[in-house]
Amino acid sequence: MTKVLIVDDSKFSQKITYSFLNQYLEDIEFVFAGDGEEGLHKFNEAKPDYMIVDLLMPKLRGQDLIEKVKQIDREAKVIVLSADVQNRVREVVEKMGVLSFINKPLDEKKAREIANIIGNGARGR
Amino acid sequence: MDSILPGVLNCINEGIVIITEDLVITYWNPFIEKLSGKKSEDVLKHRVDEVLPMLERPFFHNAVKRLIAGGNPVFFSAAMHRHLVSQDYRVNLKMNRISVSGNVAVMLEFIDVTNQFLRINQLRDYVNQLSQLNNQLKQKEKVIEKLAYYDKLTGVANRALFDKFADKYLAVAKQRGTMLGLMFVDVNEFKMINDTYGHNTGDKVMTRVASLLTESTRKDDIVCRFGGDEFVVLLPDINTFEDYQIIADRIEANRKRHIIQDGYNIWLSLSIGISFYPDDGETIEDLIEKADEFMYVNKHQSRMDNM
Amino acid sequence: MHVAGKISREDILTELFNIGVGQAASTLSDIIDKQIGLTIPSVRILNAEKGKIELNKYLKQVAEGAVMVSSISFDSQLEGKVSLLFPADKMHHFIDLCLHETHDETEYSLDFTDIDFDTIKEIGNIVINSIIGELSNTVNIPVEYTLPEVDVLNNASADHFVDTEDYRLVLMMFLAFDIEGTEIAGAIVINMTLNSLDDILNKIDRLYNGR
Repeated sequence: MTKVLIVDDSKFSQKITYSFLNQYLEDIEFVFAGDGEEGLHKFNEAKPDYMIVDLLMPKLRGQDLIEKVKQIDREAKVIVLSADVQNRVREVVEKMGVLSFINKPLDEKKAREIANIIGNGARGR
Repeated sequence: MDSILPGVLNCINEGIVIITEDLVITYWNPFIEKLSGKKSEDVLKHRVDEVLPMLERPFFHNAVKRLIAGGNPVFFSAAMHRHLVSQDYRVNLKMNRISVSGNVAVMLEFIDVTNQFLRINQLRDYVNQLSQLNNQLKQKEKVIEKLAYYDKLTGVANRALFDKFADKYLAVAKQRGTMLGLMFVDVNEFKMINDTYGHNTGDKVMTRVASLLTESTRKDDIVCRFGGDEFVVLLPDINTFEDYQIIADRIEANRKRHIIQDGYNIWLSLSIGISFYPDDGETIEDLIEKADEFMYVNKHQSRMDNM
Repeated sequence: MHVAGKISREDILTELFNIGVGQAASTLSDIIDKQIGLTIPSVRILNAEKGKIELNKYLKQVAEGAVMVSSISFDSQLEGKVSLLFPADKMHHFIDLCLHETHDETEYSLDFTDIDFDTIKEIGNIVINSIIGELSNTVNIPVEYTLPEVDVLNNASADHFVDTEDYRLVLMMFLAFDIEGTEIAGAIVINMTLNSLDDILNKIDRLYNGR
């Protein structure tokens, strides 16, 4: 069972991500968080295998969440899914050691990309 | 109809470029030749972002993609995109999707706004010049005011400023029922100081007297050079003679003494006469007359003392 | 499925507009070569009367109600008008930041020039293109429009942007850009017919139904 934590302040976006991934991945459990703080809490509590993180969020920004998570576990597997698609933002985030930076909106192609990352990782274990 | 269109585009005063979905140039009108300095025959069949390197950026590629997909026009301003076509011209760029015999193409319109930039820069310079001029005038106004109201040699008030304040202070004293003091000060034997040590030194002595009076009086008191070797000091808001006495004592301490000026040891002595509203008069003229009178008594006294 | 609660129309539109604003910021950032700080916009769907009240609240915060407005109308399948509002007093500084220029405060006595209007026209075009483009892509309803008209309005009131006669609904979104510490808080007002919004929401329902 692979556990995926989706951190996004938009319920709609949570739902879209969930349903796309659910389509392509089997044997997977989803955990949700509605802002960065809750995301950090759920990360500690649920110990997910993967995290899909939005950047622009209340309380704790995605960038700050990733930094905190990486301090706890340098190997934490983070995928960024963001509407903030500025190259300068992407460069900074990619330096934090994320697996992938995906631009919103999510579509089938991008969802398959995420599914591949998670699927490969899961098979590799 | 079709046959006249190239003719129209050829003489229009806008740079017109038509490109394919893949950014390849299929039309380049004479006006864009002028703006870019590049001839049609040299650019046709080349990519527009090679011919105009400023367009080799993601925003342009994305805009073309979006335009071809959605069809809504795109606008790039000359201010945000410098040197779009060359160093010499500032141009706005408008892009529209057009259909040419079933194929989708993009028309780029380059609108020359170089003159607007020149005009606005001129205007900006002009506004700056005006604002600088305005500041200079304000400075000059200050200088003129200084010249009009202050004594050039000593820097204290002149008679014009004295007249302005005298009536005002008198009115206030009448209204509040306070006293107004008017002190007449004369430098004894000033002619002799001038004759002995020279005018230059005499002027400096006069300046020192002005400073002495200014330092001995209060903030709202007006020290005025009345002319030649005479000073008048206005002392508003005196409630009792003690108020006056404090000032008088400070002046008295320096009234007769040796001063060193330009290496000379000079004997400086002042004659002082003072009058008060309301005791000595109801008008400024009365007060001056009385103070002048008292001053001569005092001067006579000094001469007697020195004998 | 652990997603709690009902997903509101506002939440869906917020997410779509969020993506649009992100794209607009990316384009602008690419052009001006500076990073743009974004805030989380939130969308409200209001009837025209309520929309006017909310919009007037915003305009009251803006110095003397002077706003710079870029607006476009669309009237094919969707019918309405989009206006992008920025407080006019901050626009000189904002434009300078975009153009990498500095001017003395005193120079600001100059009114907006044609160059300023063209700059705002481009920014308006970018923002509206991204937001309406994203919406139109998602719901698969083509929207056709022209380049925005740019205007400076003194003492603007909601009546300028909200037409209660023809368009019955207002989508309102407040957004803020931060460029090098200067924050420009603007508003986007989309005034459209009930049918148009229904079309959009129905499309969204159909697209995401069952997900």
